Amino acid sequence: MDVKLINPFVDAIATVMPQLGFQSINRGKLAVKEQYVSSQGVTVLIGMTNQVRGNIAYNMSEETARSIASVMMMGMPVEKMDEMAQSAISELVNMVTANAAINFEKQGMNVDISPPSLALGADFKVKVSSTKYLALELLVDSNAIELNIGLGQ
Amino acid sequence: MNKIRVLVVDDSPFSQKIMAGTLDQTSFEVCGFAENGWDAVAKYKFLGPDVVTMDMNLPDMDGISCSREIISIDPAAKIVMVSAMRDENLLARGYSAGVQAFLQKPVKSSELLDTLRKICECSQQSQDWLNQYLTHFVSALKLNMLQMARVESRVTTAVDDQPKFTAHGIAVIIGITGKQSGRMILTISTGTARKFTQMILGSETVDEEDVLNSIAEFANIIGGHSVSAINNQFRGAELRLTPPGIMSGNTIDLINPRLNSFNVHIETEIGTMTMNIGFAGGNSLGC
Repeated sequence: MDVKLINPFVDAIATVMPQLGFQSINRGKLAVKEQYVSSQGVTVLIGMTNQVRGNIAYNMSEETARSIASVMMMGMPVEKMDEMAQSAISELVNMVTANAAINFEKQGMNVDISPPSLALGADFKVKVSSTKYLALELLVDSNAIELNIGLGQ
Repeated sequence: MNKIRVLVVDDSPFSQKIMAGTLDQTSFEVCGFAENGWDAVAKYKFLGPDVVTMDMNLPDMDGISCSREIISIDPAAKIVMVSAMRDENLLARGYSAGVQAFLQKPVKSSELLDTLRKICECSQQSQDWLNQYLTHFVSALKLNMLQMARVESRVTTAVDDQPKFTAHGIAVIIGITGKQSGRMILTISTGTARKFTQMILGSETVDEEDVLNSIAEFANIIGGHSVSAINNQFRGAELRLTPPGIMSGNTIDLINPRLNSFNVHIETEIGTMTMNIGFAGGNSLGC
């Protein structure tokens, strides 16, 4: 997979997260992986089609998901991964991916995105691509979100 | 003829007045005003308007969150965003929430009336669509089950009204984009998937990779046949599939992102599988 397909996501995170109230966004590890992503607790799968095709799995622990949802809800405490928190995380993934889609378009590549599918539990694994994918770790106010990007042109 | 009832959501008395003035003496009537997001949700429930005009900046939430709340009560709600702001990010978020149209303030009265008319005319076509799309998925499923695995199947369908969809074993997820966005999930137990793969490949020895790939391809073919048939029937639907994402594990709880979904249960001599298929109620088809 081409590394240039990563930048639209990095830029999208840098644009969207501060708007939602997050202070610091840092890039963590980037690794080329094969086969499966093991869910850390909350995994959101979203598909892309048109000139860039594939899937992205946003993967994080439930604790991270709750603390992110809390920031998105103006600091309201989030004790469990309830409907409101699920909706917040789905919306976050939707916003970041929609923003990445706009960044692809700026590079002359039209993309369409599917509705996100949020899956709960750590007892499953996800295959985003039939070949290799890129795992990009982002630290958002020291919470780790892993973007597993399996895209091709 | 009955007038088309409009709920105006805007906290500015000035904008409310402009809106009421524009709709006066037309085939529309203002059935209520709401000054904030929660007021809008309450009035939507109480008044049941035909269409909503929504300001972006409300005192308690933004117009997109408010639209999302309304669509969660009524997935077929028709909402036009009327806002001073209109950028790509906003459009993308709005359309994915189920908003049908965006207008930028100040809105010309002809533009507002044309948009409202268009959206309301489209609702009939949307209804036809909701009644029809499922039949295409069911027939593609039965046909391919017979052609690929050479087994007869018995299919039952039911509205999916649960907040989550639980899969055990394998779940193939395929996104659908176009004038209607949606999602298809095909789930099957690992044991049945293995038998199914053996039938498709005509071989006793299949590994885990063969099984996952077969089920993903099976789902992809069903999805491809279904959306092709839909695109032929509804001109301008332009539905496309995203490549399959595959989940596997003992228990996978998939949350329904507010789609109008159906569960299609398939029984065959080699075991059962379930297909969940849903579309957002928002964007009217081909309109």
